[in-house]
Amino acid sequence: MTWVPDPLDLNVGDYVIYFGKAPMKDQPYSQQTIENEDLLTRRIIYQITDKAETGATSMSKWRFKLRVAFDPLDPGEHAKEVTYMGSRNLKKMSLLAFGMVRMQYDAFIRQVAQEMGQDA
Amino acid sequence: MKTMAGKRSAPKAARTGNRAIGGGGGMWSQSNTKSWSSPAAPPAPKPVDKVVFEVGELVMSDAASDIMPRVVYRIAKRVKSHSWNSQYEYDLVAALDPMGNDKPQRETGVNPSTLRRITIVDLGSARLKLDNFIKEEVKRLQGEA
Repeated sequence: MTWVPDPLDLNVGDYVIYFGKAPMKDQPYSQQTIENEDLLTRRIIYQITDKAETGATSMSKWRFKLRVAFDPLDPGEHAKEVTYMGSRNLKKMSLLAFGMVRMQYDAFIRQVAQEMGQDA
Repeated sequence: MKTMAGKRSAPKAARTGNRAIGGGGGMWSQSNTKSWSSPAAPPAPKPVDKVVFEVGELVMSDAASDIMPRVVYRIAKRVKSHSWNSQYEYDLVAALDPMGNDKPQRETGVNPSTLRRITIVDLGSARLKLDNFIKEEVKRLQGEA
């Protein structure tokens, strides 16, 4: 499913999650600013740090700079800042959505603790 | 190379099409039979996996993996691997995908090199991190208001 929010609804300071395709296999991750969708990591939260019009007339009319705002477990290397053209596959995260994520963590930790025979 | 019959004959093995001439690092024997002996290299042993996961354990993939990063998976099945670089491969089922949709995700034949074991401490740490993140965000919003 391709998520295409209205770019006008995305502003500097907003949090987004990327739901697009997987990065290309064996592609090295970079700490540098890149303009490459393949370097966006799924399931981590980015914050929009810059938004600019590119002058193009297509979907890529807007250019967003994204920084990693929250990465739950940070197990691997990934690009810390990404420049992304357009708003395709970005989903805006509200404070309420963060609360829901926290509840899911809580429920899962309780479940795992019970499986281990511990009280959460 | 002369090709006229009788002038120069190809080795027996080449004539019969059984083996390639000069390939594979082998050598012709000095005997009259001109038999080909190949130094049959022993197959390289498979490396021992650094980490072997048990069924039921919680794991997560690293960022560069084919499977979904930041999703906590449970090991559903362990099978002997046919690949050259691992002993086992794993079937996984998603256990926690807090920032994704709720569709059950299954992954089969996953190479262990991309997996990392997740403990309840890791989960607690992630939960704490998220808590702090939310608190900071609330403060920021209150500051803006």
